[in-house]
Amino acid sequence: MPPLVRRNPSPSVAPDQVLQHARNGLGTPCLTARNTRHGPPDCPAADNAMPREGSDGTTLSPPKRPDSSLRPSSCPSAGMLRHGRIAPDHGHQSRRHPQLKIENPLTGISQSLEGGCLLVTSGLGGIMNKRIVAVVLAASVVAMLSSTQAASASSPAAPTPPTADLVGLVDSASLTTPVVASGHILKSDGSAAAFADVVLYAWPANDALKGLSPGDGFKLQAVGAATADINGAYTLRIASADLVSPMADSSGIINFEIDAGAIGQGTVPFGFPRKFDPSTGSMTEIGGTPPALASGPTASGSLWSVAPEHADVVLPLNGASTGTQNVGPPGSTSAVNKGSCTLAVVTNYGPGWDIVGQTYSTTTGVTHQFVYTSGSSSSLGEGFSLSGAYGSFSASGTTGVGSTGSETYPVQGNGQYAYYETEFTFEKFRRTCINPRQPTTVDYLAKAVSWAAGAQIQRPSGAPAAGYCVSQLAGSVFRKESTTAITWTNGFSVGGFVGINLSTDTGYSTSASVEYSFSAQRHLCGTGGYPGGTPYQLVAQA
Amino acid sequence: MRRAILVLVTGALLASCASTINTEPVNTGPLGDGGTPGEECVPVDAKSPSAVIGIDALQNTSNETVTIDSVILAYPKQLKLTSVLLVPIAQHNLIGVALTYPPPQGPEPGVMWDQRRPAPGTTIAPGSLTENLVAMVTAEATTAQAAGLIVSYHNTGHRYILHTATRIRLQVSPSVCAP
Repeated sequence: MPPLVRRNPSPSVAPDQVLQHARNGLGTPCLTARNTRHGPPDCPAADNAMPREGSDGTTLSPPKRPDSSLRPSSCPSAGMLRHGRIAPDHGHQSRRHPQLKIENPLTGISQSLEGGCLLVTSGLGGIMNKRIVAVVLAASVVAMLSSTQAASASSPAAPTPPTADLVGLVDSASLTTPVVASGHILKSDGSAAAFADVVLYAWPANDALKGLSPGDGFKLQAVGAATADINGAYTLRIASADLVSPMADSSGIINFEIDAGAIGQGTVPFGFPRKFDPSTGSMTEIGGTPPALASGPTASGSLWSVAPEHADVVLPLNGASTGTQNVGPPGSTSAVNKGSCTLAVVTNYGPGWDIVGQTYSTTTGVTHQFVYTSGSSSSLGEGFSLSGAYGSFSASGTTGVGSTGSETYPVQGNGQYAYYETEFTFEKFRRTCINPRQPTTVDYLAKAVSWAAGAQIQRPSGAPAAGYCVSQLAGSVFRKESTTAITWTNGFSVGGFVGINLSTDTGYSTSASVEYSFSAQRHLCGTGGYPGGTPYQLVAQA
Repeated sequence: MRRAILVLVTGALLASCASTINTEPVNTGPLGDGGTPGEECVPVDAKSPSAVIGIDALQNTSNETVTIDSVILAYPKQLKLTSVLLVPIAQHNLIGVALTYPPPQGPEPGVMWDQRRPAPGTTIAPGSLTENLVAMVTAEATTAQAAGLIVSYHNTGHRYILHTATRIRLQVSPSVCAP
């Protein structure tokens, strides 16, 4: 498959008809149980028990997406510029988990390498007596031990235990672990925010967030820190995957947040999710391709891998920040102290519809279906506001949410186009950040925290242009179980709650799939690549 | 004699260790990343349980010519690879799946079937036409499958492995592919 440039996958197509709305028995999660684990006593007081409606002085209406506003896009938002994914850092694997799966291209045999040495004993019994076997086994053990010791010798230092604050967090400039995020910090006028403070937080697991009630608070876990250079460029690293693994929810999703601040420019968050694989320590994008095996340990001695986020963050000019000039170039190896953020739940909103998949057929002789099953993951947009008022939110990155049940959508037939939607609950949070070099800032985030189930199909008015085609035999079935995400601007219908619809990425994990069944010879075409490669959207054609 | 055997066996073990540690990079070379996971299921007749699978495209994105060393099935189960071809593609249509090829009406537009050649040993120049990787496979049981194709290739000084992400399944009649 040739690597293909990600492109906007289709012309705008607007849903014009809601076909069905069927909730399964899961319903929405209980929002009344208090969670004390993430509500330490030192958390700031929340906007206590604010009502669901009218919390911002505005009467809320049920969410409804303007049909004309639904379009696939990778456009930056007003407050943030989110760039496309950069190539994963394939040069890293987890040395802390030295089980490697290796395929021999000549034999097709998969071999499991544990502890650095592969034992091959079959076929030897006929030519050796027990004594020789014992000696050989002993030699093997010695070889394995030496290999393990060699690995240990070059492993990273013992993981730093999670810290309540940033004090003691090692600056990214002194780490050689994989890059988790990079980009530029820009001022509101577009100029570089030189030496801006940048902190990487991990949110509590969604499983914990969905149990919070208005008034509950929690402190974000700082897992990385950096200082932008004179051009505003920053690079964030995490000292060890052990720092973030406790933040993974039951679907393996970890939601990160980049916080950046500069004098007179306020602070601003940018969220992005990663799916954590505890067996390898690797972190992949939702809907992304898992990192490939690398050829071996890297020079840094780090073996875990992560698909890095590229985010250019534009700081809002809130006028509230004053203070001393940030000083000091990046690269300090001393501990950093850039502040910390606490959050409190302001409002539990009801569920909002979100596109999680799409299929199209412009011909006859084809059926197509989408299944959203347990463990599926979606990446939904986040909203950010300085005031929290209705209509004041702007997009600020994405958050990941996994499903805990399944939705099987009806089979679609000849000439049908379908957007498959399910519902996610989301909440408004009040965020208070304390930075020793700036005044305390208060702002608001709106983000999805749990899957609420429900199934709905919308009918777009047309199918996207798809030019990468393969011929499909009558009787053949093509299934795609994962695809690189495309972003639907306004695909998350929460405008009735916060004033804007948020984006959604319709990449899905291996637990969701699209399937095309052909009863006649037809073509299956991708909008951005061949169906067997990375097609983005699939369209059945004559 | 025993000492000689011991030396040989120990050497074999050490060689095994070395060969497994120094594996080639998978899906990071100039022929792409293998795509995203999926499955292609093709029903075949019991009397002639073979199919043509041409759903993968190769394009050399580097500035060096690469040479295909071998193509094998990944984790085959009752599925046999009889031959593998590279077919230049002038447009954006791949051969896809068929029982035999070319069809009676001739190859699809843009499929340069007359320029097909065996994949092993074939070179792909930088920026050349897209090559359709076409595998001829035969089922040896009612259900035969493989976890894609593994393409081993190299350029000057580097060896790579491409593992295509689409599984292949042949379902022998009267079985059907539909779940």
